[in-house]
Amino acid sequence: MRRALLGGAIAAVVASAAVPLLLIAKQAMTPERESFAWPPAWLPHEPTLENFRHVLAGAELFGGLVRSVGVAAATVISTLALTLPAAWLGARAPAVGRRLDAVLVLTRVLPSIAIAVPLAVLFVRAGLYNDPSALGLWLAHTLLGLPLAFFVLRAAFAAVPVELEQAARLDGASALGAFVRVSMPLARPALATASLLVFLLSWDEFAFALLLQVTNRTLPPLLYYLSAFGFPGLSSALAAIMVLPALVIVILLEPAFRSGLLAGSGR
Amino acid sequence: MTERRAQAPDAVAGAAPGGLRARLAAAPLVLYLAAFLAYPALVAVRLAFTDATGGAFPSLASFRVLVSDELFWRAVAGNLVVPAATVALEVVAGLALALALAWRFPGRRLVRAAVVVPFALPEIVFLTVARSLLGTRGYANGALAAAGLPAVDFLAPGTALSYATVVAVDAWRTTPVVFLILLGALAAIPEEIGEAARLDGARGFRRLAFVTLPLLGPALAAAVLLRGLDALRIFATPMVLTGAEGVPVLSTYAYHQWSDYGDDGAAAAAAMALALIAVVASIPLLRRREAA
Amino acid sequence: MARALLENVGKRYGDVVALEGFSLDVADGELVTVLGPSGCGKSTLLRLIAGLEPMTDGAIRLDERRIDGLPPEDRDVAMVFQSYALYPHMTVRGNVEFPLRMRRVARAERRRRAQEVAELLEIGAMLDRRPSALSGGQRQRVALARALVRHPALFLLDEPLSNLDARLRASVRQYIRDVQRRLSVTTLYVTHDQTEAMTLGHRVVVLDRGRMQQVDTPLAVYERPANAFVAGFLGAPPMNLVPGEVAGGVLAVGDQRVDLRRAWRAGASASARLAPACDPSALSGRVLVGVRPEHFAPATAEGSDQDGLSARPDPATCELLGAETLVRAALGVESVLVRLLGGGPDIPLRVSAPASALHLFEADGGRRIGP
Repeated sequence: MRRALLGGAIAAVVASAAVPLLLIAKQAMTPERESFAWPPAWLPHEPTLENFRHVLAGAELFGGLVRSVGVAAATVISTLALTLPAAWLGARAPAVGRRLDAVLVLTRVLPSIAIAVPLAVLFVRAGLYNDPSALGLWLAHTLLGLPLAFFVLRAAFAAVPVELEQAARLDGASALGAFVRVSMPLARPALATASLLVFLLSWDEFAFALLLQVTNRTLPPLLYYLSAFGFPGLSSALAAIMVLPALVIVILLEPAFRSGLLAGSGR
Repeated sequence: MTERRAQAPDAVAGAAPGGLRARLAAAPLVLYLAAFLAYPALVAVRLAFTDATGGAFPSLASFRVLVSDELFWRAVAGNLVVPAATVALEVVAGLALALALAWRFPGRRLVRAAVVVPFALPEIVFLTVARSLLGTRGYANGALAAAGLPAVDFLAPGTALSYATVVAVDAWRTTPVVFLILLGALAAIPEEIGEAARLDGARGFRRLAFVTLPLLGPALAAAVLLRGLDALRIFATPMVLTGAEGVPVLSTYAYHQWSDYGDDGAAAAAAMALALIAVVASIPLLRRREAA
Repeated sequence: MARALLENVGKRYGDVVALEGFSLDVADGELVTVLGPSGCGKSTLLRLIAGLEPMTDGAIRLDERRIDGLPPEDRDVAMVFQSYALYPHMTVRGNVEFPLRMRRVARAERRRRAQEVAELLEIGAMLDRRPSALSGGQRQRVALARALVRHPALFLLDEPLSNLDARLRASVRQYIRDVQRRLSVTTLYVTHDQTEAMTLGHRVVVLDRGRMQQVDTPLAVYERPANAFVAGFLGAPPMNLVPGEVAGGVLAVGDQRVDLRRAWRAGASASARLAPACDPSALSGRVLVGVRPEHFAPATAEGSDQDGLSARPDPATCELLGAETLVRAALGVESVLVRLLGGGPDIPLRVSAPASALHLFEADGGRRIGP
């Protein structure tokens, strides 16, 4: 009896993981003209890479790819820059840490739309709305990344014993020097984790991107519109391109996932 | 949160001369939050109380637009029904999976990794796949047609079936989170307790009911709170699957007001309504974090 | 309460043998202690009997009924884990009543039996508390209560005293012994502490690296250890073991010679009442000679060497413990530990142990030679 349940569970799990991936692969390699056959086939008659070529050649699509990468990378940098010192402080002064915690939790509690609408209005006034370099989106993503990075980095700094920094100070280092030379190197794995998480957050982000970038889009809204307008082959190729870094990052983060790091922050 | 907590001054003083200088470390973050969180929040409030047509402030015109809109009320209902159903479904599924996959079997690690895939994929990717599966000309209907069965419109706007479909798809996507939380909690239960229960005569289901589930209680509660809060803010799933008017929730309604009607005020008002619900619902969660 | 019969029980993990050829017949109401160092397989043994792990060989019977194919729920075996494994979310009453609940005993009856065993174990006052609010000793009694409330056929204890602090151990030891005798429940008690093994069990099984070394009453195991391992394991301080050689009935240790023929022929070995006399003339080869520290006594100037082994104590190493004194002594090139009664600071110049106090073991393998 237990065997049957286990088998059923495993089958369901494997199917739920495999079906999306296989469908994307299949559709991505199906030429657009075949996509509207009825009933839909499970395998393409003439598998092709033309969809990928169209994505890379199309100005809007390729531009979207570049924009996504750019915004994500820039978000990582800005988020870390803002969070590193604050996370260190939060670790060393728990009272301050708790206050920052409470405020940052708000970003996670508030619905995206509640922040996106006023931000959009403000960006319109500031001329950042629908910016070709997605500057506005970058600012929004940085906001979203702050709680995540803070949580991860603060935990990492808390794990570095304060005695090490004090020893460095006694050896003549300044406060900043102790931070840079002692705490940061020890927190490097967490820095990597935080960077990957923030990159992924920005890469996947849909709601703000949809609202703030109406024509100069990043990949998620592009994918949305493409598939809404009925380009299954093209959109699947785009989806495949979107999935790759996401899966790579998740695989890289698996040890962190398992150590329960993210149980609290819950994406 | 009093400054007099013993740790704070000493800890900081140990690493930086004078508390004030160290406080500056958090300044950029705080300023950023002020500029991009606090200020927009105030703007949102102002927008909500501004008449979108005339610009008069303060005004309840935007709220009146909402109250008189049938779609708004459907969105409110949707925003209560869909998250509740989704959380219920994913807790049951997540629990079942955690219990099933807790034992040792060959390929366990691979299967556990596979569980995470729906959540690991970018949300929009997962949802587009779901749509290509469930659309009127999708794979599911194709399979039904091949079997000689009539087509089912899973995403027909406004039907109960479309609500169920949205709930199912969102639960499918987020079950991995509950799974991971519960798996971790299960692993924390000492094996000897289960063994003692077996020796005491508690077979399979009774052991589950009397020993395992009660011990999972705190983790289950945490999972429900966490996921419940996230589920309230649901946006992409109904948006992508059925559009802003198919299975309306407050987020999609606000977006709909913004993008289709250009009504900042109504959009902000709807967003505020949702924000209020979310903040109220998050009080238990914040209280738990304080205690932690 | 039942008779437990273990036949050739064994457990293998791939190539690693955790337990092998374990056979034991435990009488109804008997308490047998299983003694051995860490990793000897004693916990594995309990887990096999409880059904928490499958056996690779052998059979286990309770009163003719074969239980080794049954799941733990059906074996009528109760166990107290080293960590107690109490249910943290239930009160003490809930914990104690749980086995009865699982056997669908009616509520009134459950309450009564739980109350009864709680009073026996003196935890009646804490029935409404949670395990987290109890001390280690109290938790242990709850674990005992939970195990005993259903009058199991077989009762297993896995190092029950190891998590208690030293002061508590002696009294709890007595306590467990009392309860076991009172209820007359067939018990297997596993430990690495030889004091517990010696004082609690009707019989002791000594286990090393998965193999049974000896099974007998505590006194017999102490006075007539079956091999060098058992000899060294029981007794604190442990038995001294020095190398020697036997030829033609004479034992040579360093420069000393001991005529075994006289002592053994007279049947005056260390455990004369337990073993028949035998003829040492047939022995020859290298041996290990065992002498317990307490068998050394101050030697008078006369008394021929052939009557026993003598050693020269080094006063600088003496430890005055009040009731007794421990001192290291030189026996030829070897060093032995000697235990003298009384706390006097005067250490005799010479001590000796009579031939009847000597144990002989094979030089390789360590098996006992002679009576």
